[in-house]
Amino acid sequence: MTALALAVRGLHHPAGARPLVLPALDLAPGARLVVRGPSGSGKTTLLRLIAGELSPAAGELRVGGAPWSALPADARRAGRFGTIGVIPQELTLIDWLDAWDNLCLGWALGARPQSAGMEARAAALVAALGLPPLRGRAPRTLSMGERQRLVVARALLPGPGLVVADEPTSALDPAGADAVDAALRASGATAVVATHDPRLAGDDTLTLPVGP
Amino acid sequence: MIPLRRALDRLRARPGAQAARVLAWGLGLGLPAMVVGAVAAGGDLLRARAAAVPMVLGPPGDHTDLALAALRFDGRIHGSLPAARATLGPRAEALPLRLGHRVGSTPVVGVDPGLLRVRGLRVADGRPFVALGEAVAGARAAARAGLRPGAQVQPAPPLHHDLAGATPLVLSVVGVLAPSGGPEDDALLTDLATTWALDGHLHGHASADGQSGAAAAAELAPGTFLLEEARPEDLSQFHAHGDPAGLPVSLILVHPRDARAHDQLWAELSLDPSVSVVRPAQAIEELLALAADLRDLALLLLLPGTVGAVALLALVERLAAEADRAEDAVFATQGLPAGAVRAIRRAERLLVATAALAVAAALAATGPLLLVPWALHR
Repeated sequence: MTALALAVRGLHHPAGARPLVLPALDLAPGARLVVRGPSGSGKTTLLRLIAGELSPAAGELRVGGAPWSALPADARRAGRFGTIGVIPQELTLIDWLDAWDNLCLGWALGARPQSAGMEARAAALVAALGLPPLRGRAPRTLSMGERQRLVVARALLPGPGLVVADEPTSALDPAGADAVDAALRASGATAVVATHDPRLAGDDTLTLPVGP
Repeated sequence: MIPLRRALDRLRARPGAQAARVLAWGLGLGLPAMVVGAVAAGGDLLRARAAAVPMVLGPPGDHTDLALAALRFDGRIHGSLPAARATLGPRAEALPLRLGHRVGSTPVVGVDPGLLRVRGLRVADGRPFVALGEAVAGARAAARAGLRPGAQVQPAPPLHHDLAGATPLVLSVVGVLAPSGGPEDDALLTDLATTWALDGHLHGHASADGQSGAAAAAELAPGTFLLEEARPEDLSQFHAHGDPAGLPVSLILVHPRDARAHDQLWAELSLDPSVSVVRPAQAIEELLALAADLRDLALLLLLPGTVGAVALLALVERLAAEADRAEDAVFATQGLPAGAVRAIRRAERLLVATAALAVAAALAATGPLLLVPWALHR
């Protein structure tokens, strides 16, 4: 029996005006869950709980069958690379690295040894997402759309089994959004995508309730 | 290697801010060290010079000025002594100096030829001065002005606004001294008679028939010309009016034969109201004690500024840390190890600290080299 990519039980966590409550959620490998809801409904909080950036006030999250939320914060941080790809809403890039090293961030900082395979995967992602040549290019010279596609590529490059994406197409035109949609599907990763973009369809949709 | 390489990337990405950090820390540490080092080095140099001059005789006046005039060839000494005071008998060798003339910033010092022997001065290039109008250049003065044997220089008139005053005599450089560490290194040495000629106490003139081209320019009276250069064929024309024993000297370096002669001379000269006598070593110690007090006061006055600068730097560092937080969020979100990021920041701080220490060390080292010559020869 294949383990669930993500299983949530009895999740309860403060989030804005009302607590985020999620009694149960199961995602099979490769599935995509689209999370919708108004601002302040807890979409970003849910993604950060899944990514392990936050510890839930109550309840349990399991990733690949392992008790993810029970791990200490440092262990979750260390375990995230290559396991959970995070596409944050903020398009922050490291300005003292060139755009290519921002894409290959984990390798540029020595978290993983450089390899020909990684280079090939990175080049493929650059092509798939329609990014310009990145080597030697200063991040500040990228447009917002290019930055967002770069942030998506950065999350997918380590080959995570689970991807959490917070508004991954907010700065993109339709072609760019289609490219991101296709890249997410091509990665084969289970995806939890918080978005207001109707173009991003999921296998399932979770709509978080409005206000208190 | 990766932390160091990435730290260099961080420095290159913000060159202005990082240079400001380096300079701020470097100046903060280096300037006090420069002041302390310059005072100490200047003091050591003055002590060494003072040790070579047992006693100085000069016109009545401030003892510190007299000592400094002897040790720096500073011409701002007021008054003079008659040349006859340089006769102290067998108890001491008396070496009169005439100060006050300059070629640009270089003092022209009239000396007794015995000074070269007593000071152990050696002519490295050329020969010693022997005739009126000849001079030898100190090693640093020669290097600074590009002087070699055969060069000619013209001292500035002693009084720029005295149109009726002495006409400067052209000096011929006949030798360059080897470096000695003394004030001679920065001076042009000539004989007393030449400085008297520069004063106007001694001059040469020739009739219109005898004057020869550029050597004579100023017309004293119809058909009589003042010589501006002491050419060998004109030397006999130079003469003084009045008693040569009364011609002025600025000060007299006194080298007593022995300790007994020293004490006797000191006692006698100290009681003579027509002269000042000073032991440079003693005067310099008093001056350096005052300089040390001034240095301490300066450092004390710098303290609030230093505290303010440190507070400002702390603010700068804190703002830099705030700016790093956005990066830290990216590293954390992407699951990158905190240790790797910390190693890069540590390497960056190490590079900044190393550069700042290099700036501070350069200031501390070059400060005395620049400030001491400036203070001693200005």
